[in-house]
Amino acid sequence: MWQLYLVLAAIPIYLFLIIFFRKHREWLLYYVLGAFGFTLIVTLLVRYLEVENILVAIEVFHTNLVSQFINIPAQALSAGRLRLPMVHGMTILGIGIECSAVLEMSALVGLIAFYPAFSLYRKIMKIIAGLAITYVINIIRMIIIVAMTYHLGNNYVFIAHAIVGRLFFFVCIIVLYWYLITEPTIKGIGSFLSQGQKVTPQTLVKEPLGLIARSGIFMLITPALVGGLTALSFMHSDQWRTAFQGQILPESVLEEQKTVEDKQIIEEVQKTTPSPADPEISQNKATFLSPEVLTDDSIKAELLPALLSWEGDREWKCQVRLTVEEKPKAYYYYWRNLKTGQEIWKGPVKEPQDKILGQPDDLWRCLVSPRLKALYKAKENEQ
Amino acid sequence: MNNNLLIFLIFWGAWILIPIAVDGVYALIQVIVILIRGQKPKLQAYRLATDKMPLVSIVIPTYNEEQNVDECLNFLKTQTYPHQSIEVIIVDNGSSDRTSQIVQEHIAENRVHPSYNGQEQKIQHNGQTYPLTNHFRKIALINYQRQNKAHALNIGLEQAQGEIVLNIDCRSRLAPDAVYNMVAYFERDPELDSCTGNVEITWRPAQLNDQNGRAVFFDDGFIQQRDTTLKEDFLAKCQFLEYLTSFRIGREFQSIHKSIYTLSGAFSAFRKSSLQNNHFYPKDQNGYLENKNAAWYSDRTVTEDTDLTLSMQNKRLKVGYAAYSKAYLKPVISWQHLYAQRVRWRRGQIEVFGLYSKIIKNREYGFFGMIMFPLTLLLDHTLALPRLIWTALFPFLVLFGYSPTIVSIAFLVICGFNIAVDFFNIMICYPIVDQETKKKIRATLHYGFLISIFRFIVFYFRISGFLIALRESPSWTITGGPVQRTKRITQKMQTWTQNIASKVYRLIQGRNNPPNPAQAPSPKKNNTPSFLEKLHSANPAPNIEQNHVDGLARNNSAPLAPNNLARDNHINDRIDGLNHK
Repeated sequence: MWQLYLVLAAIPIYLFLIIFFRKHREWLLYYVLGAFGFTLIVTLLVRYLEVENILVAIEVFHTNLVSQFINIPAQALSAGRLRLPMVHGMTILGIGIECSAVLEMSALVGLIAFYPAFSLYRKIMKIIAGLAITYVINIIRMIIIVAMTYHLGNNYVFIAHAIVGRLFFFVCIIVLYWYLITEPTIKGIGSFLSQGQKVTPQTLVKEPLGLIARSGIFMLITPALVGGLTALSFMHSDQWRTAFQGQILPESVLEEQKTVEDKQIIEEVQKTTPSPADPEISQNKATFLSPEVLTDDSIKAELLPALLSWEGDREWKCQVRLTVEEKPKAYYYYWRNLKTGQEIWKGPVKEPQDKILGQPDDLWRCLVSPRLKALYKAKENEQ
Repeated sequence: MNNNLLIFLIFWGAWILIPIAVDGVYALIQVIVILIRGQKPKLQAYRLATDKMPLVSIVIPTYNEEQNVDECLNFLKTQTYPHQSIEVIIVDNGSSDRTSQIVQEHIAENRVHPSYNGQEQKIQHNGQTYPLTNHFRKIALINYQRQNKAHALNIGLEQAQGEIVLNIDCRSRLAPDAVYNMVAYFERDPELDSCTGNVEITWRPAQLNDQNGRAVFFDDGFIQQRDTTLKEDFLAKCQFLEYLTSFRIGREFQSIHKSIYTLSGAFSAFRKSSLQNNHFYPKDQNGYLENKNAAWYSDRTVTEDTDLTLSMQNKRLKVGYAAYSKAYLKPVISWQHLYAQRVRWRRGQIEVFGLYSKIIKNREYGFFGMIMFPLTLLLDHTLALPRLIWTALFPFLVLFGYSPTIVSIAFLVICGFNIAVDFFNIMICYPIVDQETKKKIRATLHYGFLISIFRFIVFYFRISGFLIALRESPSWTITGGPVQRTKRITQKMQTWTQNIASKVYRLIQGRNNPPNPAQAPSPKKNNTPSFLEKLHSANPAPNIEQNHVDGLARNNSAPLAPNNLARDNHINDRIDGLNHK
């Protein structure tokens, strides 16, 4: 909360500086501070006031809709996540600051709002259109990430997210800047000068009418389309509830949603699953990894079929992941309640940068405590 | 951690890294094209036939150039081109210093062989010695009192008698074979209408002048040179490296694709017949002309050279680049002047590109319209916008959950990438430049680490140019450079804050009583200076010095009224050394 107060306290200072530089016609400082400061303040406010969650939920919702349209069986989850069933398991893609486009949208608004040209009306039109177009570009970016992950596997999440998606977004935004800022600037100045006028402090460079006519239609259509489709889709789909559900729920409520059985399993697994940090494991690595404890074949024989069969109707799902970043390699279980989509437990590694082994012939190595194995069996037998 | 850093760098650093990378890739493409299709050294060996030595006119506009004009003329005296076939026309734009006097001295000395203490006058330049010789066909001085560089240039072009007309700045020092090689270009290509030379920044010590602005000589006749300061050295070498990519590579690449958009004011040349056959600004359109027959440069923008070049491109005239005709340009050696220069360039660019915006994505103009023109705007304007904001935002990403370590490391990586691209740009120039320039590159290679700082600062100067073009009147004089402006801003802010604070204080104290309308307001209630008066006396307003860029001052001159077009009354009657028509 203190960050929010800090941001609010910074606003008067920011406004003072902006007004000062504007009054004294220090355009560089005005523009840089104006655009950058605006971006920072707005983004921070959006986050701290949890407006970002709403935006993210809408983005999840739209991404889900479009995914469904292109036959990708994605499912919107709460807290800005999208579940993507894969061949072996599933992937949860989360929309955070990197994919919500909050920063980029704020930057766009800042760059246009403080640009020392164009009338206020034109700036408002550009901002509205720019925001709508940026939103659409972002949705397309996320579709690219979803599609690549779904078709190529989890191994391509990094490439899809950080390279392909990013490049696509960058190029589109630059094209947007060209049409919103650069081209109107050039044509505005040109139109001014070609009429024999000179730019003075009293004049304002405006876009020529022809350009306004051409871009105005586009600027009106895009936000209308985006807003209209959003409204329509909200009315005709139930998925939005899932996207929004839980957004405002605090952690404690989410904690309460875990069933008693969930908690039992968590406790059990925590008790019985050794951690790689345990002295027993670290001192006996060779033994630990020996075929007698578990082998690829044993995994394939025992666990893999169980895992593969635990789709759809199963209430709990266990995925086993191998972290590749940490040394020594860490092993952990990953439980998810399929009904609520919540992660019930994962551990013992707290932040695994894991790589889900999605191919059938990949090696699955896992720590399987005898107790947990028994639990698996018991669950299966019950059903 | 490594994965986190990589993701962070690629994801957020893209806004800064990609524009930098695009610069590097673009430079690489240019060099490859030049290596394949560029001018070959054999061009330099082209010999003019003795009966093919056309008269060359060299037009030099000046304004308060007493520090530079003598050196400029001395370098003209080293030209290998027959001096009898060279006429020099200096158009002085109302200088208030000794520029005119120095030129008149040169006029008087023109028939005399230059000597000092019985020794032949010589210049040492780039390790070689060049004797000075006179006997130009003529050296003429035109005093044009009205400060307008475009008009001054037009007058010079109008008065020029030569078949080839060179236009140089006072800060330009032509290489001894520059005129010869330039003429050779025109002789080899009869279709060439205009040409820009190879402008290279030199950090060699400048000529040491006496109090009259004339060169100081050693006893053996060599011109004395002064040492440069560290700041001058830094600025000069950074500008050298900068010009290397923009001129040596950029111009030649543009020339190959017939898409040069600026004939450098520091060194360019025209075929006089092309000028006579093409008037770019007829008097009935803008009324800026001095004479209806002299209609080339215009003052409608602050970069008259770019304006003229695009006019020529618009008329499909052939604009070339003479890689082997070199001019050494004295660098701008103060941040204030550099700021003014870059602001003017960017302002001029946006103005001229605006005037010729129909060229953008116009197939009629081929590569120039479809690629070069929009690409230049994209690189200089569009890509600058995200870079502008994300450079400032980058450190603040820690507020969005990223660890300070990752942000710091990423920032260092970006700086390193920037330096790597600068080094890359320097190295790829190496294969295509001449031996002399290669030597200079080797001498400045270590500046690859420093030029990023220079470019970073200049980047913001350029942004300033764009913004000023949108809201301020055109002017060559930018009041104060960034340091002065920052000081001025700080003082203003201090004054402003204290004004507000004092008003608030008075309000609180109840001193803000409305005046009694029956009484005339008294200017002061007592003789004790007020708080603000004390403040102002303690902090007088800074003496803002006019910044004369390129030695040429401009004001917001209104265009000539149409009925004054026949002859400008401001041309001084005294035109030294010039035969009246």
